[in-house]
Amino acid sequence: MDSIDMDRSPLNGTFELTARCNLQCKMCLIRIDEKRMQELGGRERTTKEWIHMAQEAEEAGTIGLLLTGGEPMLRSDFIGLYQEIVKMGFIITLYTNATLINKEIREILSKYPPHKIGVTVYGASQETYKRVTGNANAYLQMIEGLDFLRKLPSQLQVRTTIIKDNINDLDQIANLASGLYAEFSISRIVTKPVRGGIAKVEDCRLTPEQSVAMFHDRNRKEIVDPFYKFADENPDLMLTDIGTLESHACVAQEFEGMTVQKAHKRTLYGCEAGMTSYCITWDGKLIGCQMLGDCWTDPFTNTFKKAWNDFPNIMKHPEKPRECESCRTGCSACPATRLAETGRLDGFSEYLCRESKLSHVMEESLLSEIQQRIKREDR
Amino acid sequence: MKLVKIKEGFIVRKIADTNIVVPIGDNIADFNGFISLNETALFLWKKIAGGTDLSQLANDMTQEYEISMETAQKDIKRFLERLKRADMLDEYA
Repeated sequence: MDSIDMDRSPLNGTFELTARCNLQCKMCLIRIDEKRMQELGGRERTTKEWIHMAQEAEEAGTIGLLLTGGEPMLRSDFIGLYQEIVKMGFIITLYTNATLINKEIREILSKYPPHKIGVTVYGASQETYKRVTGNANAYLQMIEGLDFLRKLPSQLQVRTTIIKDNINDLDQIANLASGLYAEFSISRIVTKPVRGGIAKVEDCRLTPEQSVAMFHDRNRKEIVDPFYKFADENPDLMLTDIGTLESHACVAQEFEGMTVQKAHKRTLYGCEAGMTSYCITWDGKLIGCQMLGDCWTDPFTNTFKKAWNDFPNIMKHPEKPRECESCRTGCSACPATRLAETGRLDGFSEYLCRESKLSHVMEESLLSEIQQRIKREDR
Repeated sequence: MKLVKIKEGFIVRKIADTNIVVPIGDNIADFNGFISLNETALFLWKKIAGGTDLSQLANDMTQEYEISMETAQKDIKRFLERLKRADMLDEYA
């Protein structure tokens, strides 16, 4: 692949500081343990190595930097690492489960708060935390951690991944986020773990039908019902004039816009992975995104700049699965999710296919309902 | 003699061909989007970063850009007002 004519720039980086975690979530994409680390043969990079890598990324033009894991605060050098990196001038996002925020970490985060903090919340009770993460106490630790983090000037996001064991807590988790004035994000899909991750997800993840039903309910609560309430309270307004509400209703149109944009730009994987974003893994590999592990370059041996420049030359451009060639449904599967599910970038996954098709029908149905309402009201 | 200095906690980064100001520390609370610096603004920023007095700044600018003192003072005034609005400037009498 000729990288010269590709418009690439390493604007957004992910530093996966560790793949270890103090929790043992059933559905974790990334988590490994010491035994798996030995089997994989890699080693976590040192404090000095990460700081030097951050300097190289800064010189290469990275502006957005995500610090994540596993659980990054599990590293004994987290404070030393963080306080050096944060002064380099990145827009820092920190992902954490908020259970390990000790006194020293509070001090450094108070002095240098991340621009954005994403806290993953696994349930709304100690019982649910026990089922999902194996650790009931982690619930109260998370609540205490969140209570500290919400006082920082950082933009706060509550994230969750829903499986069979915590689906009944979804509304409470959403309410927790709303009470904190935090963004709320549900993982779109639970795939099998990547790059040697040890979680076993097939038994605990939702079926495609359950997952789409969950998002249908959320969309109704968050978008459709508030829209109807607004329409009822403002009977004299022409609903087609309300740009904000139209943007809520234009899910399908936005998706179409994105598809058109992607068709005009050559990419490596069909997205920004390896184009304007990258991930450096816990064991020192530069990959397209945290879910990809099909190929890598070595930034710690060969410098960040060389590893970034060489990346298109070593990756194999993924083809669409044969089964998908004639399909016209907007699909949420991508090379990364296909790789996670099947072991191949071009592998076909029945799970992903069913979820995409059901999701498409669900979105179209809600959109049509809203548009019908707009037509009726404005007549 | 009026001294001006950029407040602590703002870092200039060169991203592609653009110089942008990134807030760190408590300054992130007021972060509403990037401020970018053109060539002249970057020149002034670097002079002000460590603290300077306004008359020296104007002299430096006339020499660097071969412009009149009046033009330099106008540009400096406009730039400092922008910095003050963004709460990035310390001033000392």
